[in-house]
Amino acid sequence: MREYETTFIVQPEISDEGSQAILGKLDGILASAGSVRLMCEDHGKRKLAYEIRKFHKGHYYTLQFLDGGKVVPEIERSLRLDESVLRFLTVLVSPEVTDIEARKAAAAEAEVEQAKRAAERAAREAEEAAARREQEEADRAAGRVRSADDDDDDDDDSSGGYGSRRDDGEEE
Amino acid sequence: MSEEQSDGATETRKPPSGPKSQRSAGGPPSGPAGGAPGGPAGDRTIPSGPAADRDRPPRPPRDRDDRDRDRGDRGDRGDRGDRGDRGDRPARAPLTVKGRLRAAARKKARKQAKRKGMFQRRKVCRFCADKNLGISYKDVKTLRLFITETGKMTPRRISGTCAKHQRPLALEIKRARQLAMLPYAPSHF
Repeated sequence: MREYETTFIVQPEISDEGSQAILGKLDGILASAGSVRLMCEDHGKRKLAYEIRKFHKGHYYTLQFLDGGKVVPEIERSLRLDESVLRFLTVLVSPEVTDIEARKAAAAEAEVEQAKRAAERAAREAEEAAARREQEEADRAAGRVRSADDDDDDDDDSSGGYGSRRDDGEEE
Repeated sequence: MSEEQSDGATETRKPPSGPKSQRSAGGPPSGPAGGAPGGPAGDRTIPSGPAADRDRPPRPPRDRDDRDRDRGDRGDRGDRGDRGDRGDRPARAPLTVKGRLRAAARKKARKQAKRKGMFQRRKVCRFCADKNLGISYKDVKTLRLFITETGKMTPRRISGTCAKHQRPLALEIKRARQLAMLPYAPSHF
């Protein structure tokens, strides 16, 4: 069995059901072809290096699976037809996977890890959002003095640094 | 022994002279004979003999040391450097032994200066040094170290990557470009 990896980009504004539908479709194709689904990674929304179909951001997914090879055109065809999929790329990771069970186990573990990390990230973000909201309320209560000479920390002017420098670079 | 013109660049030359024994001894001696044409300087056949020497315009002295400056992205394409006003006239290996020795010395000096100027020390291949550093199109952070500001791939002699790793690195950069993780051109964003 060969190991393949298909990475595809979905429109950023897609709803959860929309992306689930796509993943479900792909899983169905894999199942009916008898291939082994290993793992699906969700890399989240990223800024694209260049615009695709006028989009500047995209949602990246990576699907890893084992198969003899016949299923690849099916997967690609399905992705090509779906209008919300902007790009896809299938890569052969390994031409010969001898121990399928071991690879499946490793993939399952990785998936669990990923779910855990995603949950942690979500929890952390929720905490940060809550903390930020509290901070804002405190500021408002204290009469929020925003002038530069009063503050010790440099949180206020955060726009300076990278943004403008990036713009200069593209003039080449 | 008649010699054929080997490439188009020498088409404008006069036909090569025959064996020197046929030349009349009356002609003014033109310094030491050029030796066997197409000598150690390479595969160009050059006309030699007193007639050719007489007719050819004198060559101005050349100082090539300032040619060794940094060529930026153009790198070393293996040519002999900017030929200035003489660009249209084809390059020839020098005729005299002294000239050839000087040319060889110039070439060597140029190579050394180039080596010194372009990279200060032999860099170590990042991937050889750290075996765990995998090369993957998804690892944009690492890949970004090997492209220039304009998005072009950094040449091996600058990044210090060994050939064995430059090949998969190039492949992964191209894949990342396809997936819009890396730009193709600076006009993006």
